[in-house]
Amino acid sequence: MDTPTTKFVYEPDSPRHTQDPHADYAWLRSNAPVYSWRERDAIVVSSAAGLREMFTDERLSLDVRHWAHYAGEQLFSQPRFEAWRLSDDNGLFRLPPADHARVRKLASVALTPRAVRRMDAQIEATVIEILERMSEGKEVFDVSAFAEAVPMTVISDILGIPEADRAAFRHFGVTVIKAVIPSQDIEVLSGIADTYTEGRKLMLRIIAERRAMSEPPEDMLTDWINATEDGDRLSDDELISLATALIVAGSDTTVHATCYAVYHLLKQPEALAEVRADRSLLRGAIEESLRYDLFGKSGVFRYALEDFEWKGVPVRKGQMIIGLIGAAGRDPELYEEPERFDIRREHRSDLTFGLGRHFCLGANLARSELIHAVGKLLIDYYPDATLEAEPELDFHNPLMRAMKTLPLRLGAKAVQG
Amino acid sequence: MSVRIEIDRLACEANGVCEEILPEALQLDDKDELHLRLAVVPAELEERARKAVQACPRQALRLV
Repeated sequence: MDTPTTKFVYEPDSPRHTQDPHADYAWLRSNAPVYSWRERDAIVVSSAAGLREMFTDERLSLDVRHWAHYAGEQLFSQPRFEAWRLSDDNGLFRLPPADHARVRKLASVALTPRAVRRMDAQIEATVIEILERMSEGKEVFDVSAFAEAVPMTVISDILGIPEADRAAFRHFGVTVIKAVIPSQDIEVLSGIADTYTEGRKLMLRIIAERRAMSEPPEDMLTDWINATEDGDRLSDDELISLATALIVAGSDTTVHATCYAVYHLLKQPEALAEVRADRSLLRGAIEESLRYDLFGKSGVFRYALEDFEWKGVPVRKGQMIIGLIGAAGRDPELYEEPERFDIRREHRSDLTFGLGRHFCLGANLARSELIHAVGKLLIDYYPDATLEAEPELDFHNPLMRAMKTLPLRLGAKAVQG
Repeated sequence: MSVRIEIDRLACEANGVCEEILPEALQLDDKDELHLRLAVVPAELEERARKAVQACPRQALRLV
């Protein structure tokens, strides 16, 4: 290994990294695929092989309470935080392995490719409704605002949230999304805790109403309520945690994935022309945009359950492990010419949605939303759309390389019908 | 040496990746149940069987 001539500093919060993280990723992959990030007392993993190990190693947990620097114990023992704590404790990010496997098995029946195909027409209709409403009469259109509107509406649809409760559910959703970004402000945290209390009440009522229906609608909430495995069912609190996880893990991620897919397709006019000529290439184009330039910034986290040594790097019990999936996406060990955007590439080894025990439960749902959001916008409705300007980036989002705006010149609207 | 595929049924979430890679041996039914169609993997399918094991998003397959 060559000694680097300039000292490498890993600064994911710098504007430079948000604009283009790939030089940092390349340095890490080739010089220190398991990197000791002293400033944050964390281990950073960037190679595809390293990520595969990270996702399948039983010595690593997703439960933040195993983090040596976790400080939430006292806060969450307060009565005001009970609903929030129940949601976390019954959720897939925290349940102990045996319960986790049981809840995943029950929940996954509603999210297999086959199950998502049943929801596909509804997702398509929702995307069309949002796109028509937001693009009506516009010459320049902000993709980020459109992308922002899709996931929460789709989630409300597939959970069958009654019309009268939609505004309250949306308020709950927006608040729990904000809660993902760690805050130290007790006022902010208490406000979030109160919204969890209200959200729990709302969901308990919706679930009770659903259980009482003689002919419940065919949607995901019904699937979850009816799911059985060896006589076992999901409890009310597990159902609420799943709905919450759907929002927390499935909203912002899908928003940014939509923006980056639209952006990269517009930056690659030849690829976009091919996709416009042959719709069957769209799925691969979206997987490729996720591989080529994943929107993540902070990485995904695990916490060491014991001391061990990993590729010569000592890992301490309680230390945070940070996985950079975006770096694995351009690992030359896994991909030929990883710097090339190729919509015909094979994606079977991608780590975009993780691997193993915590593989993204909503991956197929996300894919369906992305295909419709990108396909309706760039193929069916606005086949002449072009980039109006480079996106404006939000340098303050600690989790994602978020686009604040992504302006598109729409061009002529294609005739529908 | 004969090779067999083992399915961890609790881990399988019917993503269907293995079925795409090795339809001769692995098939999902219309209830998302995964069926093993070959008791033993013949030598000419072994490489693809390894790929299927490697590619399973849930890592629910094993070669034994």
